[in-house]
Amino acid sequence: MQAIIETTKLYKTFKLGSLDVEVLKDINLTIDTGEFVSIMGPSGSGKSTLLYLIGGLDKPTSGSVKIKGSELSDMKDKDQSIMRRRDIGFVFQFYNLIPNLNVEENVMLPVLLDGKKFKDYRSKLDEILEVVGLSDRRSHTPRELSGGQQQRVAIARALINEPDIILADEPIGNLDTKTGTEVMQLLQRINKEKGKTIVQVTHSTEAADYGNRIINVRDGKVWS
Amino acid sequence: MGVILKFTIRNIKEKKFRTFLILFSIMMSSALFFASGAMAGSVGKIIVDRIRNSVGSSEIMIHANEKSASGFMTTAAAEDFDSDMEFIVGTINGEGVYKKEDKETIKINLNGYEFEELQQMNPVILEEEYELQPFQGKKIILSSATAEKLGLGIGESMEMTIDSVKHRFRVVGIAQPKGIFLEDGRSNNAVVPREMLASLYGAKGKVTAIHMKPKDMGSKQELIESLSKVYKRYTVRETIDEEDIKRGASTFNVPFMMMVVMVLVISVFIIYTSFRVITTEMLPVIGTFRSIGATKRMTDMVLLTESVAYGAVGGALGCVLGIGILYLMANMMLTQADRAAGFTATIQYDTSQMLIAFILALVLSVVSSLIPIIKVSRISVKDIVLNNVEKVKRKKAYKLWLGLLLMSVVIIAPRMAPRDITVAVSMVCLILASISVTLLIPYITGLFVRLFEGIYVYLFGNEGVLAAKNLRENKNVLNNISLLAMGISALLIINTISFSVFEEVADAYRTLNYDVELWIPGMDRQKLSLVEKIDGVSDAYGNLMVYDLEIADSTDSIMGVIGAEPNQFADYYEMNIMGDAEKLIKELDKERSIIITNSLKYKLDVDIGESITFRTKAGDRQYKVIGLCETMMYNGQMAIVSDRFLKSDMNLRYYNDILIKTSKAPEEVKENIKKFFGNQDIYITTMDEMEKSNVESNESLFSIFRIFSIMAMVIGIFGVLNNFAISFMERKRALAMFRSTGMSKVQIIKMIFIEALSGGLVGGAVGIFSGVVNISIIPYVMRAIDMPIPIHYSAILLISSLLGGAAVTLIASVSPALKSSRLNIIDAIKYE
Repeated sequence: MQAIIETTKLYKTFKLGSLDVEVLKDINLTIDTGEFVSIMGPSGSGKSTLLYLIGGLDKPTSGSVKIKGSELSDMKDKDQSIMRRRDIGFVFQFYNLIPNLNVEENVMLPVLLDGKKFKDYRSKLDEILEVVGLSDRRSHTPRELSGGQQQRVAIARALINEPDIILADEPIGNLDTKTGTEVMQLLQRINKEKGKTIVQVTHSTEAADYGNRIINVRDGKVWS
Repeated sequence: MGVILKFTIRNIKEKKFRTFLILFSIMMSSALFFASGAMAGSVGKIIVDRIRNSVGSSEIMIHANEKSASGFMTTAAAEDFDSDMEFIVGTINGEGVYKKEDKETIKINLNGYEFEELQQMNPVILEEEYELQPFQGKKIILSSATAEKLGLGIGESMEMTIDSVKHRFRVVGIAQPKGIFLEDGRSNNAVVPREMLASLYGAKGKVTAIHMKPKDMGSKQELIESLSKVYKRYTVRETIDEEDIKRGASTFNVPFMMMVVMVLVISVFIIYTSFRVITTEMLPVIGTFRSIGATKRMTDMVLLTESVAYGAVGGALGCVLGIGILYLMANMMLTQADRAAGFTATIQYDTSQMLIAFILALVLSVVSSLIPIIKVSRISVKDIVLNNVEKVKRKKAYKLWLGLLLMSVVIIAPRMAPRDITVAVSMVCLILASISVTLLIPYITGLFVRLFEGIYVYLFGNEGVLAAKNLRENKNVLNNISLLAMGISALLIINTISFSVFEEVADAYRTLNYDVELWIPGMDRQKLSLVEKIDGVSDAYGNLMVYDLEIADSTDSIMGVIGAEPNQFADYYEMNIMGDAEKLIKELDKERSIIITNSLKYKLDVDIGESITFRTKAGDRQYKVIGLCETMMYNGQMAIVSDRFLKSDMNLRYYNDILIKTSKAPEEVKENIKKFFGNQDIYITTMDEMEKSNVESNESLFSIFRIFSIMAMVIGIFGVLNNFAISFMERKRALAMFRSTGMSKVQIIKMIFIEALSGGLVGGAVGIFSGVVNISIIPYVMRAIDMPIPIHYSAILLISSLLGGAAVTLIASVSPALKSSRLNIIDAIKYE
């Protein structure tokens, strides 16, 4: 297997007033292509911070993050943005959909940001909406959808550009058990059938069990 | 409750810009309301002060009119009322011409007074005097400015021509430029002994006017009635007709009030939208307090107290600012002549006007904030605590229909309203127009979004399409469009009216088909033929005119009635006479007939075939309306009759002026005419000079109106800035989300600018639409106040409004765009 995500000596420190709080300490991690990794740990352990550093949404205090062999800190904002829209798909706990865009438009966002034409992705969109089970909701706006449906829109959006990596931050943290199960089964299917590398942050051991590797983060360190 | 209040105060302190915006809009509203309310009084005061300079403390005045046998009268009959009067002062007015050493002739206005009487009525302060007493014989008092202009000192003699006879006077006094000696730099006033002047005019023992001041001011009307019985064929009136002055001044008031209405509407909108944000922000705190036992009344009172506090502070500041604005406006109302005379603007207001402005501020603040407060009050504690409050409102269909209904009312009502309530109806319609446009804006924006989506994909790529989509149902964008629309609409109204007036002035001068206007004493046929022979004069026309011709059995009058000479009139005036103009002018000469303006037709309610009866010197005379014309001369309050009938009915001996066509440059011909008439009293002006002076006099008035409209726009712009700030706060999460899905910083900035540009363009377009709707009301208002003006739209003005709207939003979006690009994605995304 080839490493798709690599972190080396990764440190992250936040300032809390005059106090420096070390959130991540010396994180060395390798995730291979096609893995479904669950990062677990108590609140404040630094697991979400780790995910955001991997996704390039935040910058490490020191250390290196490589995605598909490219060092994130060497990239300019434009290149990082291109990477986020082509190579990474994000799924958040609170879905983070644009309220005034409908399902289709929300899903197509990474495509549009890539300067591609909507009509060229029509069949791809149909296919993904079919996969996430939202074909009949395509013209609805987020406020007209349930939490589970909104999360499925977020997953569809993460898939539309066929990225190799999907990063999910507490993907079922805001959903009921039944809907949570459905969403996790969907992610598992995507991992298995499409071969996508999935890294999720979760509190839930049930959710973590859908993956094939668990990484524990405690006090800013990885405990295997 | 104290804790919530503490929280509110902290909130007010923290949200400095919002607090400033609310206070600024309340302050401007009450200041402009106060200033425009007190403007009529102050304009009246300026007019009264101007008159008081020449008449001092005179309260009752007697002078000749067209029924009088002569312009002179005796004071004997008035003396019978001596016991009721503080003073009875007779005066006689005349003119003298002084020739300087360099042959320049200067006209001197001679005021004949008994010196002691003048001192009682309108005291003269002498800088120097020489053998002043007894004030008899050929003695003269000059102002210091006139003495300097004439190069005369105290005790020197001066030669003056009065009624073609030379007389030698001695300068016995040089007075300070006050009262009767307050001159405008062009006129020169002098006081001479009354009896001496009367004898020069062959009217020994007589006067041309009598001034009186009753001991008991309460008996003024009674005394006027009694004096009228004695001076039957003369006019006995209040020296200063305050009612008349008030009526005149209130004409200024209407356009000011219209602007105040626009400013008020914008302020209501700003306060309402600000309170919506305030209540939303306060919601969690209100929920917490209510959950631990605070009553609805307590939380409502806290919000209301905040609203009242804004009203009170804004109102108090507004009153202070209002006095400043009033002073500024009064100063701008002064003519160049006033300034040259050293006349300073005084303002007049009373505490009740101030109190009303303060109350308006309170009401404005409370009423505007009431709906958001009531809405919050209705939300249950459970919903607040569980955050079940509906954040995004669905479009309500009734708003579309209500908006359309109100727009129909705005378009129809001023056209249908009876004349006497047109102004009030129009004011209400201005408010309704703004409400209607605000209701329609989401729908109009929706249409624009579709248009933009189609165009932007080619212009700006996918970021453009996303920007267009972001406009949909975005509360802050819609608020910005509303504010821009209202501000632009206010600017457009004033600028279009001022543009129309200047166009009309230019048009009015285009109807005058001559180059030079001349006035000399005793303009008869002989003088006319003399003028025709002057070098550069190609043709000349003796113009007959009567001003303020009274209509019998009515209080109406026509501001200007021209007597047309059938063969020449059309060469000198192009009056836009409807139908066969030449034939109609000729017809005027056949019998007593008249051509009136459309404005007069509307005002007097007469049509072709009907008659108007004038009160003339020869008795009542009936003129049949045979045609209509369209002109802005005399504000459209004018008519044309035959010169033959006007001359005989009004007993006119001389032309009012001589209109001259030139074969050389008008300036050159003007100089030739001046040379020709030498030291005679002469008034001559070219058309260019007349137009320039008219434009200047309009300019100062419109500058004041523009201040109001610019204030409306400034408040609107501040509102837009505030909305952009709020919008950034509210959209942080959405913007971070865009970034997380791969939008680069450059793309974010691009998208925000395109959004701003689009919002500005929609705001500009809606502003133009709303402005045009409001402007369509104006002709009805202007007609109702006897100042009818046809509206001329300026393409440049409309285009600049559109671009101005875009510029405002683009500039306002600079800060949010930069902040957005520096946004911390994690912080914005992670927390709900």
